[in-house]
Amino acid sequence: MLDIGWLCGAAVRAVYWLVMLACNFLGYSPMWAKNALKRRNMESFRLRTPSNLAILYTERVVEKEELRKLIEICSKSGVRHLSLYDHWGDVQKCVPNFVDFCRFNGIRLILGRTVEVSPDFSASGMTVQVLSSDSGKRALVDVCKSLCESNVEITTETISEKIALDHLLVDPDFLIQVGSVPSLCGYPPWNLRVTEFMQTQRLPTTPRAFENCIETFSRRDIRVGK
Amino acid sequence: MSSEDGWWDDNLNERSWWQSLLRAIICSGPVPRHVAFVMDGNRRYARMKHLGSVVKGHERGFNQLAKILNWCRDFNIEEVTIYAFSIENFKRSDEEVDGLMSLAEEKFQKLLDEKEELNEKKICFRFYGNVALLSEKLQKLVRDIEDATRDFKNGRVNVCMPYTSRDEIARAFELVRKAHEKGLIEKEEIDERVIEACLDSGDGTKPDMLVRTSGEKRLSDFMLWQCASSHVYFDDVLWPEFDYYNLCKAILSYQYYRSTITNVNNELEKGSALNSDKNEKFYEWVAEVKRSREI
Repeated sequence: MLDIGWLCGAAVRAVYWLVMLACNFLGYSPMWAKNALKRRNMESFRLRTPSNLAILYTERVVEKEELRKLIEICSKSGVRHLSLYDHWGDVQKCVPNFVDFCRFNGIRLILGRTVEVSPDFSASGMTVQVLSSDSGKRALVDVCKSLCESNVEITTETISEKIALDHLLVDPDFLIQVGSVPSLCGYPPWNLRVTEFMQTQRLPTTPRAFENCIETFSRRDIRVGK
Repeated sequence: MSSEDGWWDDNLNERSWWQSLLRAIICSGPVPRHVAFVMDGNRRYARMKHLGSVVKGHERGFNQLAKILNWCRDFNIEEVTIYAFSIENFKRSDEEVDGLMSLAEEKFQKLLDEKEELNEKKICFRFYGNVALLSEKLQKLVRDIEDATRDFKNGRVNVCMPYTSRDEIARAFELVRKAHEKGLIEKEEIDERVIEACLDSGDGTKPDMLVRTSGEKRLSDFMLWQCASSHVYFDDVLWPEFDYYNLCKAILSYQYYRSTITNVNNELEKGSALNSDKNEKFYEWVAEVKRSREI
């Protein structure tokens, strides 16, 4: 007598095998089903790309080629300002690897507070800024030194203006912490007022990984006190 | 003497065997000396539990705070900073702002009324933020609490109200500017230590760990300078539900990453140029200005 349970199991396995065979034949990833479901969810959801994106390395996992890929993906996705920070200065050492890419693609490149590449960046409208530990509290000390010579009262607005003007620092909408260490590692503190954080093990250099990050940002409820 | 909705209900500290065991295990390792809390999620809690008003959620949040302060003392955490009210929160509805202010008045009055417990526990209370934005009555309560607890050394609770970090930094810069104007400090003498002394937290320590509840992953203008390289811990649980277990998880996370974050701090400090000579006259003046604001 046939075992009904065994038959059901065999049928499920056969269907699964046939689906996988069809997926492989059509060139779909085995993750297709998951992604199809996700796409269906996303149909009623609008992705919001952060205008100012920051990358903070909390571990020494900087890779030259990955940085170039990230800049490319950001320029295609509509990011206006990309800040790259690590307190060891490893990103700075990778600059030669993407300086030409920036030049050819109309991307403005700033090292700290010095404009390294300043093309007619109407093509991309994007700026990449490489930050180091000098851009953190030390930048604020510099701002304090400059403002204390004035006879006008110092306010949050005057500090914001000065730090943007002298140190070219912007407030990121979204900060991706690369690595597992749960710390801001001295990232310019003034600019993190309402920045949204996300931690990831690797730099999002593939369209799918980047889209996941953007989706995370888009789902955040930003209230600013209200 | 103490009541359930007061600051010092020792009944809150009754622990089950597993809590005592967990505490013993955790305390065998390094524990943060200073923890800062962003107490987020009271309003969502009120809505979720159908409490009728968001102010009720804030009341539950306060009751949870009293428990957490007791647990922190159990773990020998010496300093706790709480983000009680942001300057930005004035944008909320009048009903909620008034409700929060009434709650603060009630709780601060209760703290002063519970003199016996206050003198027994010897916890120093400090207030960070632009206190001038509070009502006259609250300002007086704040001054009275600071005066009554000034010399207490068993621990310290910093209440940030109404506070934003940018406002704190701007006021610190203004203090430096005035000192410079008076000839008390030269431009070249200004360094990180000078700015730190002028912050509201000038006589305290930097938080070793910042804890934010309710799943929001941002600082919301809280201790930006002080937590620039601290351990930042986010928990999905709402503040009124942040329990003993959640506190243990946060401390365990601190222990796990402590050496890595200490290394990061050391590397950052290596690069920061501090003036070797300490301008005593300037620091005395800053302390005096701060005292005159308090009294």
